[in-house]
Amino acid sequence: MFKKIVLASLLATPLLSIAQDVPITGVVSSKCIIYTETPGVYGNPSPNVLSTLPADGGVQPIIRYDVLQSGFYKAVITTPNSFSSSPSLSDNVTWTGSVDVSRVTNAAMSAYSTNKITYNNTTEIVLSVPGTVWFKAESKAEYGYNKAFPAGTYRAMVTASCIAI
Amino acid sequence: MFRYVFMVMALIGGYANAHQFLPTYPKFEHSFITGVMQTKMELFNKRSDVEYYELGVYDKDWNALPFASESKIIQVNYLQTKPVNVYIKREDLIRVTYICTESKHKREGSRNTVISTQICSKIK
Repeated sequence: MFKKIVLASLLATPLLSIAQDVPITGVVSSKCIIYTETPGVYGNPSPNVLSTLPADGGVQPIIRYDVLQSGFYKAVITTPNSFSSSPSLSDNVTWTGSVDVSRVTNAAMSAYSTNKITYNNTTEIVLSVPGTVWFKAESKAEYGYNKAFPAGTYRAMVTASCIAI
Repeated sequence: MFRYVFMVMALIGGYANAHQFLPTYPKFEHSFITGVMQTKMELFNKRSDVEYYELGVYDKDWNALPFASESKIIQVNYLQTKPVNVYIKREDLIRVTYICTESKHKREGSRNTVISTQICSKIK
């Protein structure tokens, strides 16, 4: 009798196990990751100009934004309006800059080019489509009135921000 | 085909440097000190060219607010994740809107432009 009870309980055990719930949990959280893919280089097409445009011998800085969910972040990219390090300059430097979409992983992101808000040297884009987008920044510095930049190393800063909205 | 896509992605990823700051919407809780609120953030440094990040707390108009942390300049090695505790006064809780980290760069001889990255979380 005892052996039969043990046998019956052993046979019933798998059936009882099947009835148990196995929880699977997952958390999807919004996040923004900024990648600095190309730092950028100033070309010196003429003595009074430093420019990141490829036509001027420069390399445009490229920043990649990854957002996992739409509408949680905006990208704010500021092009330089001063050198972070340079030789001593005695005249004014005129700065121009712009930011545009370089590459997208979703066709809907092409709207970023038209929906961007630009003020001063800053461009704001609401990251309304999840995925990856690359932005290219252009920066140009002109010294005085056709004055040659002094010899030396020039360094300027592009600030790429991802701000929760 | 998938292998080629993966290989290209891996190669592209190899050149990229990333900065990540979480959570997106942190919440302040009471700390062990009366009148002081605390939240825990997490900073991940995948920028091989950056070792230091500056922590900042701002109101909705981007005015800096007083806060305390282990350090306002955070040293994070490449590929390291660092927990960051932010403490504010309870009376500042209604004003605090953004908690940000911004990469800090060394002044060194280079012709390159430099990209500074900033990520801001929002208190809702």
